[in-house]
Amino acid sequence: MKIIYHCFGGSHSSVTAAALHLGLIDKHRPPTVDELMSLPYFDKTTEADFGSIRFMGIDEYGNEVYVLGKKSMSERLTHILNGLAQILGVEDQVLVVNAMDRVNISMKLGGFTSRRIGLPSVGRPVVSRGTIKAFFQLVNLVEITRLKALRTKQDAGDII
Amino acid sequence: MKVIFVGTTGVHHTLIAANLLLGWDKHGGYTRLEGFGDSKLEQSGYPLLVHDDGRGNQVYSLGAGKNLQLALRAMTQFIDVCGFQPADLWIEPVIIKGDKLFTWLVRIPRLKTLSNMIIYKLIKWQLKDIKQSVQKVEERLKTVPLL
Repeated sequence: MKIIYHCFGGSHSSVTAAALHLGLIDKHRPPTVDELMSLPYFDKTTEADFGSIRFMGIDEYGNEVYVLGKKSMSERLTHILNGLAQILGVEDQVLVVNAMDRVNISMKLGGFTSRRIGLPSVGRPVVSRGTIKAFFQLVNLVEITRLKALRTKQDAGDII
Repeated sequence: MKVIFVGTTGVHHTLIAANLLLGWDKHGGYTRLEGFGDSKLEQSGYPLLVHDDGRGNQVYSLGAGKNLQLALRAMTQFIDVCGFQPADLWIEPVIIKGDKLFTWLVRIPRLKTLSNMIIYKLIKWQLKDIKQSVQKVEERLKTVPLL
């Protein structure tokens, strides 16, 4: 199964969610700023990365986990990708997850300052603090997604 | 083969392109096409199946909003990530001048008649460009064996 986490820039909430999904960070305690910064793609994306589906890793059930930055496309991109999956006949093999509703104002402001304005020294501490604050919201999103993926696999008979 | 015409909206120029590919030339009466300017269809965000061309090719119309290039990149990569080839699902962008305006106009259902009139004028003025996109797909379909 392919799991695609997406958010505005594909740089903070989606990357943190994907990292949680893959066990790259401990879900039981908020990460440190250094731990966040060591994640692949965290606060490192550029304008050219918008719309790029970037591979993050494979989870313990063999699900491929990706991240995607979608700018202000909100749920439209979820619908587009789900629609494509239906057309291709693989709707039961794809989960498109919007991480935007777990994003707080610090993440938005910090992310904008760091990535869009290009002032990471100012924006990075703010977005990191925001990510730590939103951490358990993101844990919740990932847990729901993992359960959905597991259920889909069980329904398909891949897991007993 | 499946063909998707993608533009800023899925109920205007892309819908016309899909209909032209299907050979349903309405002799300019495009505003009478089923779904033309339908804001509810547009808001759903899902690809709209227009019809089958009778040779096993399904033709879709899709609106991606003002971030069209971003959506096109994501769609192309999504097909690849899912293990398919571009030939399995042909994505054809339909880009015309003023098409970003369509995304605003379609959001105001109360002004549907006026919006459709403005959009229709813009489309009519650039019908040649839309036909070029259709021609590209027609050329492509000629190389695909019939099902």
